[in-house]
Amino acid sequence: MTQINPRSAGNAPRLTVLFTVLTLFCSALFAQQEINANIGKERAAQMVKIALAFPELAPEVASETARAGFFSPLTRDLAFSEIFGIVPLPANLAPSVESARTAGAQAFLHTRIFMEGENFVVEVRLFDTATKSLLMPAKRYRGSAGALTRIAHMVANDLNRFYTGKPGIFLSQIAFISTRDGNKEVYIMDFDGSNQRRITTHGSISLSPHWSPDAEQLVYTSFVRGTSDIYVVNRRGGGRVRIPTGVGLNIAPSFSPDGREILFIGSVRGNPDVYIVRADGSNVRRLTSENSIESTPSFNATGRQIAFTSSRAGTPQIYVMDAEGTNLRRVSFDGNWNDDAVWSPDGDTIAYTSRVSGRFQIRVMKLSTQESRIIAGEGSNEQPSFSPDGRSIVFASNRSRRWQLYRVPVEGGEPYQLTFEGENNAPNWSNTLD
Amino acid sequence: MKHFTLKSFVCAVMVAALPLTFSCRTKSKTMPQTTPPVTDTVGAVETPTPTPMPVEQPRDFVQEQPTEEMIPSNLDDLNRMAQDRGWIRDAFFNYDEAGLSTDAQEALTESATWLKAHAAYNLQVEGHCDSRGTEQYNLALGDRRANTAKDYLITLGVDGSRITTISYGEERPFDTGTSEAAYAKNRRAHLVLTGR
Repeated sequence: MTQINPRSAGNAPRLTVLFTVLTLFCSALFAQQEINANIGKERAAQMVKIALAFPELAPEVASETARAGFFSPLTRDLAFSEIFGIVPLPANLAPSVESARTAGAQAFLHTRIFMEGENFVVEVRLFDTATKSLLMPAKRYRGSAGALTRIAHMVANDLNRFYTGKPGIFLSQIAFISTRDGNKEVYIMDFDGSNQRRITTHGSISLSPHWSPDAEQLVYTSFVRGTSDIYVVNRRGGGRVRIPTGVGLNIAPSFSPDGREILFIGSVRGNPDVYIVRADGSNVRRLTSENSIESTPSFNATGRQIAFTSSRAGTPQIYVMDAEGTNLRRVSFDGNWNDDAVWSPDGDTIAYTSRVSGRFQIRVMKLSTQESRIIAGEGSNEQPSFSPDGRSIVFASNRSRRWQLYRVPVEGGEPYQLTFEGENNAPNWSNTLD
Repeated sequence: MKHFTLKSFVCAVMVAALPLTFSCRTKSKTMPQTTPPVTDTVGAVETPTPTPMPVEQPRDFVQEQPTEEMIPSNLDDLNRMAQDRGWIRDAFFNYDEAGLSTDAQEALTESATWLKAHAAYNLQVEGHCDSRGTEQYNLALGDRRANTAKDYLITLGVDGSRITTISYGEERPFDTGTSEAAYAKNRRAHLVLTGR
């Protein structure tokens, strides 16, 4: 792993990011999936029509490195954004602002990649094709070969911010559990499946990672001590601490939206309930008191409400209550097994795992109307998590016979496979990093 | 490996028991005998070889030694043997339930009898579920199953301070199949003897 300091020519904040080299295996699969990236073509009319020229390369930069590491991920990011419609440049003309205009593009993105010592430098210019003027000041990003994909995500974020005022989700991360190295360990990856790397090395059972609001830390459950306990670790794998709760079970932990508390399922004498504890392990409180099984509590974005699972009516169903445990109401009535409820960022929608005709599916429900719909498909589909912009859901599915993670637009569509090695589940999507 | 160990152990016990059986028969001609109850000597854990009986006996006959179960000092071996011989038995559950069936109560009753007679061991009760539910709910359900079994053992007189519980949910299936028979095997409170 290499630490790098990608830096822009402007006054962009300094970012220190860890990278691993994207495997050749992954890049081959990405190439194959690029076709799937034409999400939301029908919305093209409202999109910014942008043309991207393949980077102008200094002689020491290999074309394949630039393509697989930078240009392909950037193209996929922009296609995924639903902000941009990518206009192909005419094959018979040299890429230029003029040829982009001819092709019908409103904007033309010109990139140049060269080396400075060990580092790659990516220089980006965005032109208005009508006026031929620069839309954004020219910007440089710097990093190792392994950082090129991260740089592509940064460029996509900056373009997104230029047109919408908000960064995209391109620097968000997905935490998950994978068995690819033999045991269930915590992993993280970029939102598009790139840069997959292991965070824990417990050699035990680790479960259900959940990001802190600043995406610096993960809270999860591990059996490494021979009991199930809650741990917090930073996203580089260091600084691991166990959070003592004084109760048993200690599963399904998640940070409160202010990052100060951890919501979890604890148990005393076989009665699993929703508990909350300060992130330093103090002030443990129980928020439910029924003699039923409670599971998978989840704060909404404001921290005012908690969704959770309870068997109090006989089967596992989703309930919502205020953060203090008051104003309880049942919200799921479909089927006999619902669990894993999570909130959309705007707080009016929940997604959960719902049994339908003997299989699990991802159900998305608008709370204000209680209207719901299924968005997954083949196989068993479980453990949804919303993207920070609320437009996508990542979930685990065994549709390929093994458990893999997929990303799908929240309104449904073709799922995009993110993992390929081992069995994978329990995805949790971080907030946007800027 | 499991079978080999078990078989060799059973063989060893049979071979060891042969002279006893033999002497018993011959002796019974000379004097009336009451067969001592078969007891499992807990002290044998610390001293794996059977403790010889004191030999302060009248010279004219030899007191028959009580038949002792040799309890393996290795906890894995002990657990295999205890399960194999039904000293301790797992409690099985119905789908999405944590209540004890008659069979489960019977299994725990026999386990309690052995546990009460063998205070040298503690017990960990593992709660397990089949893979058909959701991962997190199954962990909570497994916790309830383990504690239901623990509570029942306590009502049968086993000291609760000897019993710990852990839920593995669907993480450690006994049978990875997807038949009802396989699922049924995985819905259990699994009793594991531990050292004190």
